[in-house]
Amino acid sequence: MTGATAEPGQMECGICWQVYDPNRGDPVWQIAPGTAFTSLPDSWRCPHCDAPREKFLPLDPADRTAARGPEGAAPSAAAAALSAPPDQPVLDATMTARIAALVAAYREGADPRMRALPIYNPALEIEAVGFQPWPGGSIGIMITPWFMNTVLLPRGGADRHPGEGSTHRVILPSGSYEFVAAWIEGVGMIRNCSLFSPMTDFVDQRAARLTAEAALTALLTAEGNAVPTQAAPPRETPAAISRRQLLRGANGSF
Amino acid sequence: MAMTETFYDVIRRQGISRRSFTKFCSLTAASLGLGPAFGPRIAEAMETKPRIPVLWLHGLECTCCSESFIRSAHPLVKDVVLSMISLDYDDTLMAAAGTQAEAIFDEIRQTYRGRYIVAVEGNPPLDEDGMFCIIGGRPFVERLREVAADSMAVISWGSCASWGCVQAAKPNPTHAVPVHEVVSGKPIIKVPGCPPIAEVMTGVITYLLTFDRLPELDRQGRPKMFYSQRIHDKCYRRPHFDAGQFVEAWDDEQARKGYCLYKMGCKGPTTYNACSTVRWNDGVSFPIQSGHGCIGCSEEGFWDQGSFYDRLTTISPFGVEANADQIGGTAAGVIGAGIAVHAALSAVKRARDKAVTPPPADPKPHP
Repeated sequence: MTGATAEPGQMECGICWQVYDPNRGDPVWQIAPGTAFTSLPDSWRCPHCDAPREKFLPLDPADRTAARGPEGAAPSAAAAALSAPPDQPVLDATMTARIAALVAAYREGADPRMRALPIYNPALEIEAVGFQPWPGGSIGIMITPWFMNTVLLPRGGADRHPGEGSTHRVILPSGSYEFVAAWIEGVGMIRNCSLFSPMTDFVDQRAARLTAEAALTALLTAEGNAVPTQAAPPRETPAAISRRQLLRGANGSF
Repeated sequence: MAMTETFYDVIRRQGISRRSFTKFCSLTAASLGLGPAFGPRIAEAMETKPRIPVLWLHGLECTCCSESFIRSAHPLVKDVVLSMISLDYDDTLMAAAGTQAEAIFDEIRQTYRGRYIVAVEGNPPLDEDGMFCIIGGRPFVERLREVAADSMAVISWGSCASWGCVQAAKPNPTHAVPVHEVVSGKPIIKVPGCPPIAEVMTGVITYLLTFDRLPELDRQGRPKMFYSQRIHDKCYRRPHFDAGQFVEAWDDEQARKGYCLYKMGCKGPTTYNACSTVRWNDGVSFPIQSGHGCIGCSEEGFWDQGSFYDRLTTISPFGVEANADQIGGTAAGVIGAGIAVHAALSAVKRARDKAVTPPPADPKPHP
């Protein structure tokens, strides 16, 4: 890895040159992907050499000139995306069509097979509740007579099997959640986070819908449950060039 | 005196690196659902606090809990927690035997009155005055009662100690009972599973040491951090359940495709455990991943709940007598409009990933 390929926000340990990549997070310290360096907990240290975080310097020199504050935490960025300006349509035609396709997929594909099972709640029907824009697609809740899932529906249908069944940590305003990737015929890959299954508890569709709406609000509201992102003060970055670049002479300014 | 040394002293003496130690602390924090900030606190506790003696008793059992425990994924777990840190008495694993072993037992009881932990693997039979399980010439049940009376807390390892398991299954010829039926007046932590996951076992002990208090328990006495989620909710085969794609017979085409095992009797929808998230053998796999349904081994009375291959619903958890903890926090068929919000909030809370959300109440503020 060289400075030339550095992505914004990447930080490098001044001791051992371990790189912290916000897109990857840090499995050693259990930092979720999408966590900016400035949002790391105070206790965070280099996962490789245990150096304190003060030893980290930006990998990309251009980064140092950019303001570090707005990088922010993923949750707040996501929250900002949610409180969409009033003039923005709630969901565009593509997304609406994809949600309809998802409902149709469950209705025509799974429903006839599930209907025969004893855990099928005949009082319920398949319904998509509260879908709204989300970075990369939309988020909402899917109700069927056998499950209620939070669904992340991407804008486009992806290829089959890039990790079907794998789990992904998704940061919502209320916290972090594990979503399971699922392949839906005619829709593509989506991500689900189970809320209820089976659905035998629900008296009727209205109760299920009310529950779904309340759950979606709870998921997308930071109130009281926010991930503690005590934004650390921007770090001093006195060096104008990274040690790596200096030593390798990779920078044209020298 | 040897007993006053800290965990960290022991670790250093064994030549374990500082880095390995901090990694163990952060991994343990994560497995406890505490978030990365708690890693340093665990490290501090291990560095400063004297180790807590643990007496590990064996009643009627198969030693699968011990087998699981000593195969904890992280090397520090087996080195530290097991052999060095706190296991003072374990008749299966200790080097001492006979009179020597019993002397350790009595010494701990007297020296550390009220400050040691009793970990029980297996359970006591009560018939014939406990004659079906004799240790050191005395019925196990007597010994268990005595040693628990002077302890700080009791850990019930596995389904035997927690619920009774196979030896208490009908007709229960020796009248074996779970630990909480013979021990009273002491906090009891149930860590069910047959066996429990190794990381869960070491996690519980580490939590006790770090915070000097019991982990948060659910209504049935299990640590919430490991037993609050159902296998079904985090199962990697869940998308196939949602899509109505099931294995219909062993080794059929659908089985090869990895479809949902519900129709083959998988008990995932009624089983609370961490198998589908923590998994086994260093996170390599778990029963469903290997192609067999969950048998619900961590649920109460699982031997008497019908065949492993009976499809759920013919058995009680989905029936009218379903207990409140078994399905989604409420009894069957009662989520009406009135409690929709409550149901939604508890479902969201349950689904939330605890690994990056610290517990609401900080037990002991960091100085």
